Amino acid sequence: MADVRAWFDGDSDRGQLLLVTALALAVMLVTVALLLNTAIFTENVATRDTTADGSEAIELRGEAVAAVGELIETENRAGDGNPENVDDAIDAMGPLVDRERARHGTVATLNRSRSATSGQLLRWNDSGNPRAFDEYGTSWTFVESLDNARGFRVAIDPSTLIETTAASSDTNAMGVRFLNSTTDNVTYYLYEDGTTLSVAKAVDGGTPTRQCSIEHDGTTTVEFTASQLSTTGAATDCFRELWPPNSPAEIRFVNVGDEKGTAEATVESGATPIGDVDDDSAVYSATVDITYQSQDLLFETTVRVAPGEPR
Amino acid sequence: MNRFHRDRRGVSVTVGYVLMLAVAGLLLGVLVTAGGGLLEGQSKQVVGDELTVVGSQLAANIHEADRLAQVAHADANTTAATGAVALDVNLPRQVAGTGYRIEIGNRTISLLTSNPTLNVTVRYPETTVPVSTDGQLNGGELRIVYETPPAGEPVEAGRLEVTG
Repeated sequence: MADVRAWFDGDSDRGQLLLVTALALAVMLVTVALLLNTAIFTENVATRDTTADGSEAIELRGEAVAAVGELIETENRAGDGNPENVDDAIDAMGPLVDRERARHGTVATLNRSRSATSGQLLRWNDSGNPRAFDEYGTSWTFVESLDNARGFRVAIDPSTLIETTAASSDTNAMGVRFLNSTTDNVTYYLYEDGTTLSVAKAVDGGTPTRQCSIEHDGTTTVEFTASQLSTTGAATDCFRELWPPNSPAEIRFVNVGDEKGTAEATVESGATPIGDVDDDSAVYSATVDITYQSQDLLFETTVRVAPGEPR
Repeated sequence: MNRFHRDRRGVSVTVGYVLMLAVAGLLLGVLVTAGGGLLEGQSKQVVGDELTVVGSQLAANIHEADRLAQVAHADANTTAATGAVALDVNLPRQVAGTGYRIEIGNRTISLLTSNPTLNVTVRYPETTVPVSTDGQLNGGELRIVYETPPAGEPVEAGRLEVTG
């Protein structure tokens, strides 16, 4: 063993071993402190939201889609919708989006990708009032040569509907049939079941099954493209869709009796309405480029906006 | 009592020192060894915890990119245009003073360190858009990049490329 007494004399020469150990312990304590610091930092990071602001990017996209959709609807609401007006409005909206997002420290752009497409707004009504559906007999075509459609809704007076059940609704309840020459036809029958208006679906002549219903209170609207039923002060989203999966080329009313109401659809240019259906020019869709850029994220997408198009 | 105090027989200064140093050395040695073991254990624990947190953060960012990629893909399919996502992930370069490597699998992220030797695996739900990496990545700043595949291709045809 080394001479730990070294050059000290008397009782003051015994501290070297203690000194070395104290140093070792000091190093250990400092290391423990650093580890504790790391552990605390880890806990802190673990409870922090460190994901990029993807939700903001999706939010921006949603807001842009809603805003452009509102532009289209506003243009169509006035009648004789002109795609050029929507194009001009989108061009004017771009700098506003840029400026608004700059306040949040992010870069966002909204640009028109291509010109808005034209369409037709088809309406079945009597100067805005309910109209009997049997003017063209018990079965007639509302529109054919259909490519794309949105906002198809039928508002009906439930008291004019046949009271029946889902299984027997195909015999006499009024139906809306979606036809496609290559795939199965799908028919949605509207009937009254006690105090509810119900919709039953039948595929290619099969037995109808109930899809959705609502306790009616006056005129009730069946939104086929949005899969929703609404009446005075109430609305219900249908879990089972009310728009067929067969990309219909024709919409026809069948089993028409005394039913009265209105029908409306916005269709892409090229479709042919039948008979005395009101046919206004309209804007069908618009396509915009959206870019969102923040410190950590770049998101670029091109969106086609056609409000009310089936999901 | 006074008799023992004055009696110097059988007492050696050298033996006294040796005994004292031996006992002190033994005690201090045990203390240092125990402290070292404690430090090693705590160090492993802390590094493991931080790697788990880092892995979870990376998984969250991969899912964020996946969500954006799905939106971009759905949009691109209806417009025949292209969409893109680029997401920067800022992870620490070192955990508790030691570097680490990242290996991204289909549903797992493995984080490896050599000092202390650890392999932490974080599981995450499978993404809709497959994740693709070029081997192991060093910890630090990562980038997740996605570009939409040609229109009409399924969403699985795209790739979330993770690069260092």
